[in-house]
Amino acid sequence: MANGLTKILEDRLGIHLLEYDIPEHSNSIKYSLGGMTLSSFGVLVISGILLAQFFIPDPERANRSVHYLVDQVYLGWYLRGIHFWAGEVLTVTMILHAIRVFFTASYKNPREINWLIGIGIMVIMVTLLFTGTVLKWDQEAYEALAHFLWVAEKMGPFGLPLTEAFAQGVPLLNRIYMAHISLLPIIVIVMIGLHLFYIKYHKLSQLPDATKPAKNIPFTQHMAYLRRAGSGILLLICLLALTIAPPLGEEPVLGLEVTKPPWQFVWIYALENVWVPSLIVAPPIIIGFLLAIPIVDQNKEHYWKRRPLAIAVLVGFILIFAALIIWGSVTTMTHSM
Amino acid sequence: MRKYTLFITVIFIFIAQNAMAHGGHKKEPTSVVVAEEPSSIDSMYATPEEESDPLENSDLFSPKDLFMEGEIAPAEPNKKTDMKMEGSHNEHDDPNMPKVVSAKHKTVETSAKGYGIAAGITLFAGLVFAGLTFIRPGE
Repeated sequence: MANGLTKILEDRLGIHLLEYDIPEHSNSIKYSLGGMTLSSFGVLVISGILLAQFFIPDPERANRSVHYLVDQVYLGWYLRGIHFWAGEVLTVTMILHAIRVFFTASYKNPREINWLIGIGIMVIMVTLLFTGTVLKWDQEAYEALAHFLWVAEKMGPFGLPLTEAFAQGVPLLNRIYMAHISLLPIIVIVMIGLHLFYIKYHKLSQLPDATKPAKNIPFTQHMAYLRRAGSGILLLICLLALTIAPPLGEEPVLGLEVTKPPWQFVWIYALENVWVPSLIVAPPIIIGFLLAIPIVDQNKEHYWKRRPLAIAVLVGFILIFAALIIWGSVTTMTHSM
Repeated sequence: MRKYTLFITVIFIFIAQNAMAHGGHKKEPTSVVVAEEPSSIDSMYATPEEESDPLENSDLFSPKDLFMEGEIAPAEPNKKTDMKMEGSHNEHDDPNMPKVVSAKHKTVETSAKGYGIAAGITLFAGLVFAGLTFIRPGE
């Protein structure tokens, strides 16, 4: 009976199309980091839809609506915690995924385009993180937006669409909310679709030190592995939400600059301390650097021991970021333009 | 090195503020509108015929909606103030200044609304993960 039903469903849904072969090493943590990131994104979408039912995207009421959710709504604190921690876990797995792809040289021919798409996804995810930070509209949110607007103003006509002057009468918070819940998710979902399509098209990369073709497994077996990995990610998010409440301040005092950004952005806080225009130049330089990797690196080798320069760049990149994050976390703002 | 940094800074700021049409706070000359003057009061979609700083002529919808005057693009995005923040380096400044409590991570209290249900959901997630780990269906 059950087998018959399964067969009917498989026939109707075309599940047999998922039985294609992929390398066996795909069922490992390091080759499933992208899937784990996707799991976190799924949690973010679902919890975000629920959060949106309680959020008022108005500068006068946004912060209070979040406080109301956390303090008054049944399980509201848990819902917000899940959304927050899913974002944190996503950041970590996404960075680890990018490091793994670089380490195994999986961005090389013929997968250059998929690397570029991946960087695009990363940029939009960071933008989603930023807009989400602003929406809670506390002191940290206000200061983050003030910095953003300063950069947008300095960008002249290119930054105009990002300022309040672009749509008079519409509070910027409304537009940021729209971007956070519709525009950016739609773009990122399309890009994730493309990313997955090109993984399928070019097949998962071989192990860099492989001397012979890897043993294959059906993709459905990898899906089962990802299901387990995803449930582990969900458990981690739930545990964090159950024990540690994300920060939430009171309504901002305008004109004040006293907070530090979340750890994902604190490196730029440190850079700004050295040279204020870093706010404007650092992000495009870093994005440009990441985009240029598959174009600049023409070394055909994939194994890390035979790519000393690339590995040195990777280690240097990680160390610089780690140092900036630590420095930004402990330092106080001392810069002047 | 410092010389070059200063040079690049000056060039960059010059480009950003002056070379681009809307850079910085440079005031553009007020345009004289001969035809019927579109007003942002009549319609939020109304646009002036000649390009000008839309914030200059609008009192109704201004950046003050979100920001205090002069806060849109201050000369220094992180200009230090004398205002007070709990636990910050200027903690012992004038006590009359506004005080901002920095938001931190907090431990969730078991008295939070629905804590038991949340713990149950987490436990369920743990059981699902444990089940998939031990049984490994389809793997």
